[in-house]
Amino acid sequence: MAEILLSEVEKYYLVMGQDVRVDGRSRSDYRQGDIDLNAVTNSHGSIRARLGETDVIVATKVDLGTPDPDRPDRGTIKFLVDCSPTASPDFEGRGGDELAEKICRILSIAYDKSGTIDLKNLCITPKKYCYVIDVDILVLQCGGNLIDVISMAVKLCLGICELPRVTGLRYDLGQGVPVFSTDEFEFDYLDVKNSPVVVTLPRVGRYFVVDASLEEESCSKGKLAFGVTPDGCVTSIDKLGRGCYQVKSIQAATAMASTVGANVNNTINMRIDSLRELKLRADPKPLSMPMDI
Amino acid sequence: MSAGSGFDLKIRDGNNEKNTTLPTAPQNFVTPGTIITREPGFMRGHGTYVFKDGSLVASVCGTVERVNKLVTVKGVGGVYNGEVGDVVVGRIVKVMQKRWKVDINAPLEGVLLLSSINLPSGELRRRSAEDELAMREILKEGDMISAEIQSVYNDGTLALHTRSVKYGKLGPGTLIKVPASLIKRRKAHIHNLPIGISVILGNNGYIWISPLANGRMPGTNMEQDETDGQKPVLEEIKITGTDRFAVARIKNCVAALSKAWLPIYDTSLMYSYDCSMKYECKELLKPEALKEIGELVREQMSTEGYMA
Repeated sequence: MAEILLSEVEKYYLVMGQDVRVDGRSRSDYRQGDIDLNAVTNSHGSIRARLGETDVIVATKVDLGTPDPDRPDRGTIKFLVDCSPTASPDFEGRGGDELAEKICRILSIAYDKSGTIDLKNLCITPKKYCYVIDVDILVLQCGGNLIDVISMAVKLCLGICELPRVTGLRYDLGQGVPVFSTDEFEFDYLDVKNSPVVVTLPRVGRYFVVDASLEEESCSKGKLAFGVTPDGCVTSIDKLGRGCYQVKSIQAATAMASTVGANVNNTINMRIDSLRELKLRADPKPLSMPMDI
Repeated sequence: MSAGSGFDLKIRDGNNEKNTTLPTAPQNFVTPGTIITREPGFMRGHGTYVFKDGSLVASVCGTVERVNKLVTVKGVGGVYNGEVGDVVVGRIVKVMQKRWKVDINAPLEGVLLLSSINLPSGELRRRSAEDELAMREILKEGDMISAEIQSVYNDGTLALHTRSVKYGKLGPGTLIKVPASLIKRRKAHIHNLPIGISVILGNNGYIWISPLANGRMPGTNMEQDETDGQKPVLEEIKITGTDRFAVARIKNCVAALSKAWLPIYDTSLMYSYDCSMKYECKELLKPEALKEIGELVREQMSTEGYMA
């Protein structure tokens, strides 16, 4: 990820902080954040999320597709991450591709676990038709803790994503192709209550810290990224960067991620409810839906 | 351990964000292209140029200042342009032959010549070839220094020097960056605040906050014959939790002043520190707290007659 040049003295000051971080936070405190609804108008749902200096936009588009032959009774969610060069000079040209792929992989694995999101609800006709949700993520600014912010924004975005209802079949050469409703009020929401949120714990000195800033990430030896559900269940663990851990450390980190992640995830669930209400109250924007004629 | 405490994602509502009180622009405020005067006989200073019809036009956003026949426009924002005598905080980015290149938030990197520093041993002598090869032992890439601007080259590059005990390599602490125009030129830029923290307000917008006196790494810039030949050891420097909270609080106060676009100097900093005491240190990260501190300091400064 974007690393900045730091002096030995700054690293020393940061690493020996015990429970007092450079801005006064404790090791398990998050920075301030906010959410913007409807950042992208021509999508089925979009969120702009900011936490500290990190800024990302997530947008979803829903389309009709064919299920994966290995999973004929499920729909699919595809993730695509774009690390914009405005976020960091490291992302110029193809520099951001490696990180983007890594983040996609972490999200796919976290969401793949059964129980997090029921993909069976996305199936329309087994083996033939299903919903395909494309989740596009754009990184505007990288201010540390990028993966966590992306995962929060993705969960929020999937929570407010409007799935158009199937109103019937259009027969084309004997084949019945599902037709989406054109009524903007006829949609369903996805049940994302149990979707995971990623908690990345870099190791700074002898301790793990939550929501690291860019400076703290530059001082860390490796990170552990945990996917955590609202009830504290850890769905995935990923190791990023260089560094080795003792088993006890991994266990301690897992416990920390579980408690912190559960708290964060429950807050996100509450925000999703508020956002859905907000959408109801606001003027509904006309959605452009795929029309197969 | 209160897990994930304070985690909050606010949903932004566009209507709540309208700025209710905006400070009014001063009278002589101009924007680039504004004609200052058409009368001949005025000398153009910084921030102005002469248009083909002979009128004097502003080239930056700022306030017009006139001293006898000299007209200048003092810019409000923009990039840092150093002047001789400015105190700056910089980061070494390159080690070259007989000089270091320093990032000082200016259009060009600053230059610190090997002959412009005090040798670690404190001696006064010509720099030799051995000194040149040992440059990285004195200052290496990433190191933070406080320095003064010695001169300005023709192309605008700033030459720095640390030939005084108050400048040199900085010790443990933290850096915060603010717009350079918020740091006004004053008599002193290195302040040892009464709370046990030292703050270096670099004219270039880089502010160094440290629990050490003058922010400096002890034993790295001695006056001649003062050193006892010992190399300073980082691990022996003890920093208490109280110090850390004080540093963090000052850092958050600087952020509050910067957000409110208030000039940052020792008085405004101490005002904001006093105002911030009602909050816990980490609560200062909340936007409401920052806004409140900004407003309180602005009020206090305008009643005391300082520039707001």
